[in-house]
Amino acid sequence: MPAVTEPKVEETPDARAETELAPLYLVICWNDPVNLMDYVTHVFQRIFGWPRAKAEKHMLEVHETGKSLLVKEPFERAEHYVHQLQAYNLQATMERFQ
Amino acid sequence: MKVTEVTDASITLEFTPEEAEFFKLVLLSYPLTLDQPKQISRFAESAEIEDANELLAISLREQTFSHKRKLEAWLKSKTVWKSRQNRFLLVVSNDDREWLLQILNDIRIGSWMKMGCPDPIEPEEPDSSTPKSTYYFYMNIAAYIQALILNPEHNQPS
Repeated sequence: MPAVTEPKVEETPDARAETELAPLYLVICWNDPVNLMDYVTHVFQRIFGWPRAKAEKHMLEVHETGKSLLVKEPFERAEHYVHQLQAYNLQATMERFQ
Repeated sequence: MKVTEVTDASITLEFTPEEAEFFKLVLLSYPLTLDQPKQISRFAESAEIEDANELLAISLREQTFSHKRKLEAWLKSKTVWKSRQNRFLLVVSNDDREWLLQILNDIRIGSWMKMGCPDPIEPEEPDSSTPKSTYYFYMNIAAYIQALILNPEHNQPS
């Protein structure tokens, strides 16, 4: 498999505007031995609107390092993404960004 | 089971009558992960997170019931299941694709859990006299159909 570089965690314009007002949360996808790699890639594309190459990069990072930091967002937006990811049965959580 | 047609609007899968019956049986096992605990954060602790955990559990439970209702109607639909020359054609529209993938993934993960979460994922086929063998087949059938739906163009006959 190709080497995986640390993906850049995206901060949307809305998130940047709210940075001064509210704490941010990292949306993290954790590895599990059962989800299909193509399925995980599909879910990332579907939820975040990412191109396939970017979705695959994050999928491989989950697979090879145990987790991938997907986005950094204020509480409610991070919560929304975790709901969507868990609706697809991915192991996703939101963790406070220090 | 194979892909027979891919259009911008749908994917058509072909089944023998026996495969169709077995696939319906697999689908009717849904949901298998409903009772698993839902956790929005591994490390964050606050009243806000506690509320978010409850909201997540409610949201996923509602989605599961909604999917179950859709699935039951879908399995009976004559526009979804078409009979042709001793074969069944299953038409998966783009609208149906996402919830069907979610259902299949629930069955795959739930079956894996029922088997005791083996890691690596591909254990030898369990003895057919044990309950695990049923979930072994459910898990693999769900994965096979997921792969057909995710990459239909790679699974069309040439």
